[in-house]
Amino acid sequence: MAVREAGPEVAQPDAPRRHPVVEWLTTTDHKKIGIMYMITAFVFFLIGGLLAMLVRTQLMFPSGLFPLNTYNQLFTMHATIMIFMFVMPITVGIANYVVPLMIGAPDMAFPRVNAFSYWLFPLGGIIVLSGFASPQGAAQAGWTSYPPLSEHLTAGSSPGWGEDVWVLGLLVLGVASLLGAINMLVTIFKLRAPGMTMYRMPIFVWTFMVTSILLVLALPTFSAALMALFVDRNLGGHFFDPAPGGGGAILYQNIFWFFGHPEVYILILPSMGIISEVLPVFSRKPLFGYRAFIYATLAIGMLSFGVWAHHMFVTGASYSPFFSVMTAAIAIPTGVKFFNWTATMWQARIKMTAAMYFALGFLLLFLIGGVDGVFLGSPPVDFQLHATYWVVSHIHYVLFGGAAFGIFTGFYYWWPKWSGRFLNERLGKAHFWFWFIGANLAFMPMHIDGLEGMRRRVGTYLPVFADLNRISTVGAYLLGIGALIFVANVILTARTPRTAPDDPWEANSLEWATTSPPPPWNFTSVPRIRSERPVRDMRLAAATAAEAVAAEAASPDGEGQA
Amino acid sequence: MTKWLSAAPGRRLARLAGRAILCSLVLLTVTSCAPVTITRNGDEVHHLWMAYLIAAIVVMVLEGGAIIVFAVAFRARRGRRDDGSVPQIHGHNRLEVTWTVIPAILLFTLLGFSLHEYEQVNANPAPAMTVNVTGYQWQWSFAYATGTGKSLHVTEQAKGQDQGPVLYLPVGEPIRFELRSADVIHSFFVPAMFYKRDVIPGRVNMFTQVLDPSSAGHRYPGACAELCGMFHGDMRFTVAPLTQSAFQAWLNSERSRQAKTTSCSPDGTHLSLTAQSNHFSSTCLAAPAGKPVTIAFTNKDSGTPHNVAIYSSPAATKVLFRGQLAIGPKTVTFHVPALPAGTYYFRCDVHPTAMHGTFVVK
Amino acid sequence: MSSQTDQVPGRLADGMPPVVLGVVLFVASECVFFSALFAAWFTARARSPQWPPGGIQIDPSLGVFTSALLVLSSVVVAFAEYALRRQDTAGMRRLLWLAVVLGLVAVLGQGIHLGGLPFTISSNGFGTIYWTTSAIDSAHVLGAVVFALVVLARSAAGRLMPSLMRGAAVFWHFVVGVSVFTFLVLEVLT
Repeated sequence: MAVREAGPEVAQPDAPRRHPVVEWLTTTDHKKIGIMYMITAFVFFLIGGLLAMLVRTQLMFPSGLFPLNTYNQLFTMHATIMIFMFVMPITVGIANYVVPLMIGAPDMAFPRVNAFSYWLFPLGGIIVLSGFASPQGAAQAGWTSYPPLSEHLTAGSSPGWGEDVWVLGLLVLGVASLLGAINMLVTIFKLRAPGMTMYRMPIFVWTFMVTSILLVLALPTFSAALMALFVDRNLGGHFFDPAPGGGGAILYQNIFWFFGHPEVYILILPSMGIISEVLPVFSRKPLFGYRAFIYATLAIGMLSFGVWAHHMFVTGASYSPFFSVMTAAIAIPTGVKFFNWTATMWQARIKMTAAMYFALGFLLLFLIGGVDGVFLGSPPVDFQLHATYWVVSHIHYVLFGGAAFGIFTGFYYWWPKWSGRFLNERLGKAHFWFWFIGANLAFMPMHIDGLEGMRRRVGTYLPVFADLNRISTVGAYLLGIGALIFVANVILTARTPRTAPDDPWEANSLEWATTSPPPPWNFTSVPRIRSERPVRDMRLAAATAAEAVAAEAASPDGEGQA
Repeated sequence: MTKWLSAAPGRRLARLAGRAILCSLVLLTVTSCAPVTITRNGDEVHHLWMAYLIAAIVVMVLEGGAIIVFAVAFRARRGRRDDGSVPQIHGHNRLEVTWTVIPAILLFTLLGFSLHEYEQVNANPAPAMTVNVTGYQWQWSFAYATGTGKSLHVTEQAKGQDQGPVLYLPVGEPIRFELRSADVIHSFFVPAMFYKRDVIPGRVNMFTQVLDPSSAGHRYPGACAELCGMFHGDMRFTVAPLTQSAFQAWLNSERSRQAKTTSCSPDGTHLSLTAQSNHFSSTCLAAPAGKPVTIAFTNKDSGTPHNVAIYSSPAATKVLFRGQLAIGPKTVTFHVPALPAGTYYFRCDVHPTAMHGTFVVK
Repeated sequence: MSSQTDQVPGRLADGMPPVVLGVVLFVASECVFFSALFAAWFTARARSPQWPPGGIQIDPSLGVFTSALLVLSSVVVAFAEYALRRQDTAGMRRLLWLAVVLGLVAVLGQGIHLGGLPFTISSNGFGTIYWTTSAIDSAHVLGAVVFALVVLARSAAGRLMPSLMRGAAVFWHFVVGVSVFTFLVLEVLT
């Protein structure tokens, strides 16, 4: 077991200096690991985004552009990359960097396990992507990979090893996520600074804690399903054999969605947490209903285990009324969060930074994604909308408008803390407008063509849908331009001097109480924690002290105002 | 604590919300005429969808409007100093309970309508006829079981390459669909019915629908809605509702047409067959009895797989020969073993309803 | 320094040590993993006209033997942990080595049992799930043995944290529990 005590005694100031490359490759510093997570995940995001552009290019034309099996690889790998190699690991990266800081800890509980989890991530990603080198191409059965299709692409033909490396790579990524989640939970439970009680933790720490619990309890079923697919494909197994005596095709869907629905919350909860950090800071107000928000997060976590078969209404193989009741129930805490966020802005003095733009974009886009998802929770309505572009629209409003906007909110917000430099605000706002307009252009028309029967995962479609699809494609290209603006922003500001102070936003949580970027082991001294906004308390105390000094200086002869 | 609720921005918000609801009602009238439904269940589900849409628009306008109005109204303005006068509101219990309970009532009311409608859609009245639907990669096969005589297979292809087989159905009476899969999961989806149901191997799914009389004489697209491999997108069919008398007439003529057997005579042991635009160049092939023959098979459909497989009968239960799939453009030679004299059936396994014929051995 | 204490200076000193908490969380996820396998088992069983199919007979005697060995090893590990708590490092090592030997013999027994089965992983759904679950179960016993060996190695190097021993013990007991449960489901309750 790679266990090392996290503590300042491990840092030896007189240790021989290592080459920076060696230093980064062997680091166990949670901040460096967090940055490596984010860089790796961002590279995968660019690859996945490129695939999305290709998918949308195919759909400019009703009869398509690429060979159909290539097209199936494009959308399968786009979803796989975005879910498992972008959103999940990048939130892990952000949490890796900021959670120990937020709770006043010097590092994660198990720094070497942390490094190990990170290195499994690029390994698993490369294994999944290596499928493109297979003669039959990469996995092409969709990210849900339903058997029997994922076991025999065409009856009687060899399915190639693209699907096998997809399975193996995701198993590796699963182990990485599981170890990371356990590490995060132990860190949150055991390494909080004195005074940092559970109900003083920043909301981001809460949401990431629930995310980690969901990972620990949901991910193993996915690993089991992947392993069973592997046995069926390579050892002649009958786990999902539709014939009597096998487990049947529906078994996979039950196991997969038992993981798959908590997974949706694994993807969105960290972004909800980021928004709950950023909105109060730029509103100059506390989060409205801190406790209610925590209870809503816990309720979502619990209910997310009871809604999985709402993905299976049209199979006719699940008891739909139960799952639709649970689905309606899980919408309530999500609604509560919206009202809390909105009320936080009431009578505020909102500072319109790029981070705040993205946070507002999150609220508006995720609201659409939440509302159009409620339709899908009604079994009869789902009979029409299931597996159409309505669902594609819904997941993109939730995962792009929600998760990705939340992630980029975090980028603009924490960038000075991570790098010591500010991102260019004007470019950041340009990035926002490209993404906000692009997302609505790309995903809003999908509601209409989905309702009218445009199916998802098709490379060719009826010409009546061509106009709506072209609007979506234009929107997707705008998203691509927005991503390039972000890359340009990072490159252009990388040469500017490190001017960021400790607390540029007048923020609330502990990561702003140390330098930007923080030193090894994070804090020279941790401030006193007496509320959920310790850095604000510190700032107010300092202001009061300064006033007292000024008043004293001013009182004798009216000078000292300068 | 309630004082801040009655502040000026609240009134402005209320006025704005009222105007937005008005606008959305206009929008609603526009969208409500969008999709056509051809079943009674479909009509009702469509109305249910509209109820959800109204609720969604109200929520979008109120909550989305609040976000935008707050963001604009409460932004920091240049020249106004942050003098720390921002009220530090930590919460408001009564308000929070209210906005938990009201959405809950809304959601569960809608859910009540949904579950009622779910019962309606799932009701299984005694059917006047049953259609056996089989999905396989990447085609549909339909057979009518009308109670009298043996079942009738659909052989007609809709015009145009991608419309698939035509499913004629009588209006005004309950039709039961029994769904089976020969390979992977498919999904039987007719957007105009506002309905789909998965076609799952190892399981028989069924549902009953009554077509609206006004749909008779029109044609509606249907397709597979569950990813089933390379040609999933092209796995289409066409629903063609007919009046009950027209349907009976069609059924009788189709039955007598299929009863006539096509025939042809053998001419040597080297046969040739071409596939183009998802059709065979010949619907009758003949071979001498007891001698192996070769079929020079040319697939001219670029990117589309075809093959030739010979079965003992159109039911395609017993395979006599199966040629491998050839993705066009490509020419392959199939070596068919010696067969005893008889009348057999050949088809392309990928497109069995469009590409088939009689294989005569004399 | 770190060999003597579990606690990070200045951190919460109460409750479970971090390593033990980590192992407990890992065990929780393992339970979910095995639940998925058993869900597959019972689904296939419900879909099968006859269970086990084709009148397969399994001789449970080897399973009884390995299960008994594993339960015994669990007791031994508990005593090893107790010995460490009394600062009896030598006793802890002796007992832990005994547990390792018992675990390895049990895995050997499971291997012999699998080798003599009248069906393979590709025979039918029964065979697939039986083989997969058994193989994963044996792999877990090996995992527990490796964990114990790490504890022994650290102890030999004089760098053993008591909490690591506790973590190894928690994992060992879990593995034994799963193993016995697997035996009951696959062989006794069929």
